[in-house]
Amino acid sequence: MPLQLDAFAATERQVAAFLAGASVDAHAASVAQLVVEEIVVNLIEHPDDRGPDDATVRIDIDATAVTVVIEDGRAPFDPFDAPALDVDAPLEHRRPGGMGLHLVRELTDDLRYERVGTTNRLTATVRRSS
Amino acid sequence: MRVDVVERDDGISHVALSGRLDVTGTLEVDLKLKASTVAAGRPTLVDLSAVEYIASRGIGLLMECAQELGTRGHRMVLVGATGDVDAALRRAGLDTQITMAADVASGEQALGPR
Repeated sequence: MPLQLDAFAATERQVAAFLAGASVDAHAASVAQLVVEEIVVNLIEHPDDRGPDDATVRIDIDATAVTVVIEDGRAPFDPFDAPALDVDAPLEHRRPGGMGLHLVRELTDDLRYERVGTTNRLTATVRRSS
Repeated sequence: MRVDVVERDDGISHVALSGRLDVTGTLEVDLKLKASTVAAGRPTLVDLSAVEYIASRGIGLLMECAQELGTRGHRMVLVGATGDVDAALRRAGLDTQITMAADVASGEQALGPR
């Protein structure tokens, strides 16, 4: 998909429809959609002139889990290197930056980053409850 | 995504959100939510019971409204969040900074006497 906000809206609808069509439970579907949104919108909001302006989103569903794989050709970016969000900061000092990655780390059951050649690959797994 | 203003005459701003607070939905309601809460400048209830999904932009918008109201000396209470919406708000740490109530009556109580 092209890394543009209007294209993402279409992707978001496709992802929701795909998960609903596969009868994925509400929790796993919600977290899988959140992973796609947070990672892809982060790429859209932080353009990198050096890399191709697109990303690939793949969703695999089996009996026990939903696995989201997002690949982009940007410069290496390991989300585990991002600073931890200070959720205990007073409200007046809280800033929204970093919250998306924080939620992805908190809500998924497994999260892995790999650099494969010139590609960033993020693999997030969410267990199904039924 | 919708913002419905609940009319009341007790000095509380009361809005009900419904739909998906994803990146698109958040952009849709940003101005109206701020106009109905921050600009009104009163103790505020935000009913999330009909919100089906929330991501970081939506949480950031709620946080921004609470911060702005706080600078004016007013509290904002979130009511009715359930399931993954409730879980995302808590994992983002909002439950320690913004009161989260189970329902409108509890939210009114949390806002205290006026």
